[in-house]
Amino acid sequence: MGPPLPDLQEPPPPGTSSQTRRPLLCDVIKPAPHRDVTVRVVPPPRFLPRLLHPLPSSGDIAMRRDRGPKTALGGAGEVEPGGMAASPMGRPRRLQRYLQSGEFDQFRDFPIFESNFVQFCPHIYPAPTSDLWPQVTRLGEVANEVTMGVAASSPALELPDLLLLAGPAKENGHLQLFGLFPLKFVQLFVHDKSRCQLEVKLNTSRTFYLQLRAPLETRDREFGQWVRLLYRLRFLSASAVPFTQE
Amino acid sequence: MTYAYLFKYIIIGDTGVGKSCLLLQFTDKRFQPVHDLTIGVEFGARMVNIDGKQIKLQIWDTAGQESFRSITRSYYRGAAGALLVYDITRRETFNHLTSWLEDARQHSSSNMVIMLIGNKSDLESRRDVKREEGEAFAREHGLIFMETSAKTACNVEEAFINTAKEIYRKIQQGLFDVHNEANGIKIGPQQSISTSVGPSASQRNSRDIGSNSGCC
Repeated sequence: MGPPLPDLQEPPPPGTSSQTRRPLLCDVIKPAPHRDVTVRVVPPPRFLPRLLHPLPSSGDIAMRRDRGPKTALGGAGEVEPGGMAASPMGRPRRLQRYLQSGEFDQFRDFPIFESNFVQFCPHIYPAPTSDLWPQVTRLGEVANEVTMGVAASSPALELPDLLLLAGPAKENGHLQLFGLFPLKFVQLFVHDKSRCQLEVKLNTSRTFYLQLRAPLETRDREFGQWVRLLYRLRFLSASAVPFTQE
Repeated sequence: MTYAYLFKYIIIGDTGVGKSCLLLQFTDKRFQPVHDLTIGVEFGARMVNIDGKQIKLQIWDTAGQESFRSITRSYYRGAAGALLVYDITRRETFNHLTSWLEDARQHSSSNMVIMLIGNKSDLESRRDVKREEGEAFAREHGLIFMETSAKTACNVEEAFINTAKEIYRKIQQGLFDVHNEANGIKIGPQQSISTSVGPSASQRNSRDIGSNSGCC
């Protein structure tokens, strides 16, 4: 059995009820203050990773699939026709751009919500078990840059169904896709809200931890979007399956 | 880095036959004895040189476990090459080849080049499937066949590169439409057809190797 579900409460969207309307992906990433979501955060590990300095980032919270010029938008998460939310700067982020470049033809038009993270290991004895996987380094040290995105394999889906992980290639630092995982085999948790840290648990017993890498001024908002997404994935996904170890 | 072509490969076969280890050996030249179960798809890439052309191999390492199969087979589409892997020490992984082959043929291009791989050839003392059986299966189904060891790296390079050579040969023969992305082939950035298609002077670099090193 998996860990107990976090205690989450969320008011229904204005003018709707959960009985009459299922949320769309745009609702998931609509920016909202953290006060809308109450999260019982997993207790911090005994040894905390060192806090990371904010790293340069465009601050562009993209979730778009069209590539044309855009009109001015009100902000991240503004709903557009098609049920997707746009980035404030109207351009896709790195992973989306990479996929749009065409090397991965099947993923070219996937709507993606993505952020940059650094992987860290909160445990005393990190034990990487896959060499194809981004490696963790020593306790508390900044490990690998990871770009994590959730994607919908069809625009018709109300919720994303895939998790994409990418990172810099060893040889040239260019973004490289590491893996694609059906979200029904993945669980996402808030590991430490104050540090904007997520726990990603695959149903193969592989678990890793990611800390959001975003400018200070947008970090809370961006993490809030992940929290809302986690909530939707955990409690509103019709295809959710019980989390069991095989 | 620029390339003339990108070939999409899939690696398929039962769980535990060594698909991820083959990929790791090919991309990183390392062997990892303990490996987590793959869920979904994990990716690897490497440049190789075939007949003087830089070719990027984009490799999709798929989950072998039955519970993931309905998902992973949706990613067979658009593959130019497939490595169909069994474990020479486990007869059942050989017995399941027909099912994997049917899946692959049903969900991908009819021109896809399939390399049958009997992996774990270093475990000769535990061999449960004779080399001749692998050869016969490959002959019967029109596959290329090799025995490999991801642990010792024996024939791993050859398996990936010979598949690429066969795909390239099909391109030269006009059997693959390189403009049809469903065939799993992309022309590299800034490459024109006139420069990327057709026989060229036979030049090889250190990564372009002979068809059979004979180590297994």
